[in-house]
Amino acid sequence: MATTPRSGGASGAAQRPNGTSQNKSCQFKLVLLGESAVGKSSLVLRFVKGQFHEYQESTIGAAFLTQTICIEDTVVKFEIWDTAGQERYHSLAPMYYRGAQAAIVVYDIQNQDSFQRAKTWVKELHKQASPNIVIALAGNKADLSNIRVVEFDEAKQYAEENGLLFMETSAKTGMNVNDIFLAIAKKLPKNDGANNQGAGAGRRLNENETNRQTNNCCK
Amino acid sequence: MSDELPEDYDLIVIGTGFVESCIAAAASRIGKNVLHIDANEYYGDVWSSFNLDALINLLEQRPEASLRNATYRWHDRSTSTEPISPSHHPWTREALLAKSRRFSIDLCPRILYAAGQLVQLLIKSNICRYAEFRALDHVCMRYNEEIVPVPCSRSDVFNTKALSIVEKRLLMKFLNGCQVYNIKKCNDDTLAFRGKTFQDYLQSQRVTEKIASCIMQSIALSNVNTSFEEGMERTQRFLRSLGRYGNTPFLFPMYGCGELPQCFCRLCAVYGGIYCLKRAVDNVSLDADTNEVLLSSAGKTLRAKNLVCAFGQVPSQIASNFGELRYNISRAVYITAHPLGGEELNKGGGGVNMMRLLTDSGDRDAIFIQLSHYSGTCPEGLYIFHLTTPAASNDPADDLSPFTAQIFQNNEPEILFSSFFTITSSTFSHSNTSPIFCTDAPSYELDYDAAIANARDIFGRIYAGSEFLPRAPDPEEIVVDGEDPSALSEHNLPDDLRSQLHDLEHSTQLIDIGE
Repeated sequence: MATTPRSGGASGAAQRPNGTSQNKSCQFKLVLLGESAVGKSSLVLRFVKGQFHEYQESTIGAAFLTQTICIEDTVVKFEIWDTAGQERYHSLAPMYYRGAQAAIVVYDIQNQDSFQRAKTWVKELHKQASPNIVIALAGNKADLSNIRVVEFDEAKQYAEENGLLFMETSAKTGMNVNDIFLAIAKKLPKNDGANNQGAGAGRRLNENETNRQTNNCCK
Repeated sequence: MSDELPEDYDLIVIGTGFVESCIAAAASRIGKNVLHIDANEYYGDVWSSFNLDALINLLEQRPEASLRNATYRWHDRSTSTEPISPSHHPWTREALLAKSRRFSIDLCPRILYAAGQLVQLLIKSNICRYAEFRALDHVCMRYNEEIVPVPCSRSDVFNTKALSIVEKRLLMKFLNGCQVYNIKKCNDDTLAFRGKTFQDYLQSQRVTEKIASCIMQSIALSNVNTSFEEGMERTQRFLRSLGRYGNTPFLFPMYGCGELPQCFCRLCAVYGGIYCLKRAVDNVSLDADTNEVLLSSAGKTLRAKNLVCAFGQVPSQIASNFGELRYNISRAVYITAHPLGGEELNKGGGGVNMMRLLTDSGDRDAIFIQLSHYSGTCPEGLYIFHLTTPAASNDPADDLSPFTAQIFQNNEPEILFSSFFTITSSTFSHSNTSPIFCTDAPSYELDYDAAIANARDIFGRIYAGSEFLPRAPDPEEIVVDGEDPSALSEHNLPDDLRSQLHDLEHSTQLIDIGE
């Protein structure tokens, strides 16, 4: 087993700005927040897999997915955490926000309560998460904008007042889904060391094991 | 969507402490329908970490079940005459409380062996991706009233100035001897020590006093009563964990040990477990016909085939099976403005260090953990000292006094806050036919071996023959194209197909191990 510690994730460690590679690469932890059934998992599935399931079962989602995007000269890898349904009875574990560098707070434009709840999540993030966290507000189900109850301007104003990125999205049609992730990626600091900054100086246990596992297991 | 809890479960778990969370995750992982509740509004029960405000609240409540004899004190430096230099941060009570959220103070801090049972379990189950760890910077020991580093790696042994060349040879020889020792082999050198103490063996090896204390205190984690076999086993465990993640064989979870139960809870939730904090249980009874557990909570009756309950949250209806609550672990927590030991042990703003302490007679021991901001548990410039010893009385300060005397003897670090409390335990008599199980209280141990054994045992009794926390797939392996059975659509499957899928997954993993 390797004895030297490695920093960052699999894609982050190899390249340094002073090295020969032209591309920088950064890894960020992004958490999703929002009331049940506003479409958090659907947004991620659309972004990561390009898919949408009309009757996506609640509570269980893609609790941990990754997606890599390129922006300018930087490769940005998102490690995306879904709530796994723990928010449903107001029992989201605080470890969920630990070291998160970005968050998408999702509400349903047809549901006023979900918008109010989204505001509570933003407050919670400001209290609990790291002070530099990039927060985006997503008004989801925008394909149903003819029956909306949360006005675009109202949400936009709230987002501006609180320094949040804001877009209305539709996981169903794909509208603005990639864009909101891209906007977050642009706003995140991508200087050297951004890899480890938010996640503290900690290390993962499976770093040494990763290769073995992906080579061997399951199809 | 209704916010009402569903009523029927395979398993209800009360308490979100380490052992309960392990069991909840393991049950959920094999497809059981799990409800996990806790009367507290936080995760972790007595295994939790608290910010400073929350810790003080907890200590002031003086709860009587799992935590007792709680006291705390601010060491305000009121009218100090010494001038405060500009670089010197005046850490007043207000300054500490203003940074309350930057603290993560454990009730039961632990240190993980890098190749220990918990680390193995976290890797094997893939739960490790939810947590980050800090490799311990130094293992220390007290020698001649000084706090000195214990050489851990081979290169440490060669480089250290603390040992003479002769001592280096002796230490290496001894450690090599331990490495090849095998309990099953009848080796002439060691056979004679079976049934004797580890100290007897150590003395026979003609090592110097310094080497002996190094091994007793820090490597074999022994005291005068430790048996030869146990001491050898502990030494080997230390050696096996070397060279994996940094310079010492130990790890500490970033942001405190309270993160660990939450990691298990997350896995449970990912596999469909339902979480509900601040949920007290009013009544527990058994359905005489089905032998199912009926639980009434918030005006609702919940039903489960089995119930697992944290020892500190046992509903009174089943408390009669309980022995008396007894003091078990004595704890001290200090917040200081200076680290312990010299510069060598605290490079770059303070180490995350561990030291084992022995009384002069060598029959009682304690674990000392120093946490700097590198552990994510306190603000920069401050340090948390954790002291833990098996309780001998209901007076934790008195139990710990020989050890506090040792660490504060020559260098009184600037103590800002101190607290003492006792963690209790009890025995639960479990009848073979009852579907109700109760987890053990935290015991005095460095790592989580006993806690994992407890979780494994209860899981095995409920779900005999099922694997305990098999590996969960990586995100890259989750394919939702429809051409492959996937973790995502798996939950839309009927129960029988789902369990078949789990079996399939399980068997592919077994093949992998074979390779």
